[in-house]
Formats: sequence, structure tokens, C-alpha cells
Amino acid sequence: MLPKQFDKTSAAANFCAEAQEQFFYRVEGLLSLKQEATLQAHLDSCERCRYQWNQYRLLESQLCLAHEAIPAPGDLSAGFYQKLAQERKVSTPRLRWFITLPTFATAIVAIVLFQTVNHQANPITPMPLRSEKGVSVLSKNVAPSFVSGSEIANMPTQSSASEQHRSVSLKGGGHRALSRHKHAIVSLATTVTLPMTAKQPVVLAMLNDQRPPLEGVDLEVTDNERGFESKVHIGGEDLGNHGTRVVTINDEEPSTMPTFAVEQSQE
Amino acid sequence: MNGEKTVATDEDGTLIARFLSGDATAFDTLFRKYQDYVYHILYGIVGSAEEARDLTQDVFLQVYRSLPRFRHNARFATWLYRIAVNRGVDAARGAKRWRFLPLVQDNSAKEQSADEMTEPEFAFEKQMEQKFIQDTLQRCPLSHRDILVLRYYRDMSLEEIAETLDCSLAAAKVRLYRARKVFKEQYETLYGAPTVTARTKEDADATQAVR
Repeated sequence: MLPKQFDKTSAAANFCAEAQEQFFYRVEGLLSLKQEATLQAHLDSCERCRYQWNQYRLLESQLCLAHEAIPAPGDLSAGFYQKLAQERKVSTPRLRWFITLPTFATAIVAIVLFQTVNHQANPITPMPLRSEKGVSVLSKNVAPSFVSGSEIANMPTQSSASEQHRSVSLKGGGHRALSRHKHAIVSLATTVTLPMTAKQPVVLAMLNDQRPPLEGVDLEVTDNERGFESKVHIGGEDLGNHGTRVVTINDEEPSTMPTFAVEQSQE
Repeated sequence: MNGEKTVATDEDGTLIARFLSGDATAFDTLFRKYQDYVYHILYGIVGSAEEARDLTQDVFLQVYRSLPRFRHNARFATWLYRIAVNRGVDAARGAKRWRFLPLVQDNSAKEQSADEMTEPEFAFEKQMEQKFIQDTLQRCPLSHRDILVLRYYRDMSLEEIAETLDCSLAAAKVRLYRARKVFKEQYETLYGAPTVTARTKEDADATQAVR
């Protein structure tokens, strides 16, 4: 809306209305010199408009001063950074299935590959054989990796005078396996024929998966005409063929190395 | 604050560039430079100190997120104010109620000059004036409130208002004219004609002298 020029022929009432419309433009400095002079002349002659002009100025002054009443905000930065941290926490992208599924699958594949590579890097190598009563026995220095029944069956064989045999010497008890089989009692006869049942690989795994390997616990598995034979050597003592040794694996404190106790039982 | 216009300068551009290159302290500098600027705008629109503080932080959160998309063909301050006024208007519109300012608060009383402290009546009058103005502002429609805040709380020129509100200079004049008229009508409806205090009289006289 542009300032209107005063029409000198207008009635006095119109003069007043138009003059009061000019107040805004006067305050904003938008009147021309001619408009300014005309308005001032009217204000000088019209008490009512002069009063209105004074009121307008007063209100304008009060408006200009009103910001002084605004309470100081203080330091808002602490609250801002708190909100920013919360927002970042909340806005962490939620993983959707099409993201999580491949990630999960990739992780599984990576674990499997790692296990495979690790296993290949630490193969169970056949150790020099020593002969003991017609049974070939491996030394104690066997790589402490998981050994399944099938792996035992596929171990390289050595011919002796009378029999084919496979043997392996294992160390320790399986800590991870024990976590699933707490207080498991592994009954391994010192000289028994162990059928290759489903339990056998578990037992072997339990004995082999110890970190660090337990010293002095050896399991000897022999493959002969009668099947697989197993012998347990504890503390370097060959328990021989007399009686049955029950190996109790105590896993009450899973964070520590399991302990083995040997009990003698009579057949 | 009213007369202390915060002018966006090359310094702002430098700070923005530093922030975008990973310097978090640059944003902190921007925040401290403009927090009062934004707060006053929001206070004028919503009429509550607490809400204005909260909204100021929200505005800077939005700025933090949006700064990478900031185009330097606009002044940073203008862009910031546009965000602030939109946020304030949204908040005020969401409230769907008139806000009544409490009696002019604490800090203004603390900031009184020594002269004012020796003239308690004068100080009280001043506080009441400011309360009336703020209450009247809160009763104005949001479409008028924002431009009044720009003009009187931030002391923006018509050109700056037009730039900030993204409208022509002529449109800014018309809007401010109407807003001022509505404000006066609201004020007189609520409180009658403004009274002359020593302070406003001095100021009005000074204005008149300048004219």
C-alpha cells in the first residue's frame, strides 16, 4: 500500500482518516518531503490527529523497547548438545531384515571359513609311532583341535606286525563342551572297546577342546580287529587293563581349567 | 540486542566450511553467536521463555542436520531466521491457545539500571508496558506476529524482512502495515490508549527529533 497524496478538496474527516494512515509510512521513513509537509501541516491544525499521532509514537516506542523484557536465555549449548546426543542415539538406523539377513549370513560364512582355515593351519599330524605291546601309540604332542570320530577313522594308518591301527593322543578336557555338559562323567574304561557311537566324538571333543590343554591326560584309541579300543593315560600312568577308571570332569568353575579326578572302581 | 544486528559475514561462511570439514568447534561458535538471535525471535512468537529456550535448541538441531544443504546464495542469518520463524509459528499454531506472559520476569528486573532502581514506580511502569506489549503480541495472529517480531525484536529493515520472509519489498510493507494496525487495535482493546511514561516520552521525543 503506497502512501496516498492528500486531496485538498477532501472533507476534513477524510483528511483525518488519510492522515492517520500515513503514520506508519512516516515512522518507516517512506513519505516524500511533500507528503511529510502536508501531514505535518494537518497535524498542526488538527488536535485529534495530533493526539492520535502521539499515541502512535508512544506505542511504537513501547514496541521498540519490548525486547528488553525478554528474559535472558542463558547458555543453551549444554541442552543443545544433550539433545544432539539423544538424537544421534535414536537415529541410529534400525537394521531391517534385508540388511541383517545378509550380514548374519556373511558372519556365519566368515566364521566357517575361519574355522576351516584354522583347522587347515593346525592339522592333526601323525606323530612318530612307538610300539607298546603291539599297539601303536602316538605321542602326546597332538595339535589341540577338535577331533571327531570320523576324523579318527580317517587318520593315517600304520601297519604293525599283526594289525592295522589308528591311534591318537589327546590332551585335556573340553571346556566348551563342558559348558553344555556340566559335571559330565566320562566313563572311559582304561581298556575297553568303544563302539563308535554318537557319544564317542563328543567325548573326544571334550577331551581335546581344552584351552589350554591339560597336561597328562591322554586318550589312546586303537583300531584293531575288535573295533576301536580306547586307553586313558593320566599323569603319565598307564592304567593298564586292570579295573575301570572313571574320569570325572569337574566344571563347577567354568572360567577356570576343569580338573580331572580319577576314581578306581572294580570290575 | 534490538540494535545489535548480527550480520552474517564471511566469518559465517568460514565457520560453516570448517564445520562441514569436520571441525565441531565451528558449529559451537555459530551456536553461541546466534543463540540469542534465535531465542528472541522464538520468544516473540511463542511468548514463553522456557518454550523459546527449548525451541532454540530444536532450531539449532535442524540447522546442524541441514547445514550440509545450506546454499550460500542466502545469508546464513537469514536462513537461520527462516528456520526459527517457521519452527516458532508451528509451535505456536500447535499450542492452539493464547499464551499469557507472566509478569515481566526476573532477568529484566535484574538488568535495571541504577537510575531505575531508585525509581521503583518508573521501573514498575516500564515492566507493565512491556508486559502489555508482549501480551498484545501474543494475541495477534501468527501471520502478523512473525513480522512484528522481525521488525521490533530484531530491528530488521523492510528489505531484511522481505529477504527473510522471502517476499517482495512491497509485500513486506503491506504486511507490516497491516500487522501494526492490528497490533494497535488489539492493544487498545485490551489496555486502552497507551500511557505516557517518562521513558516512552523520552523515546518518542527522540524519535520525533529524528524525524
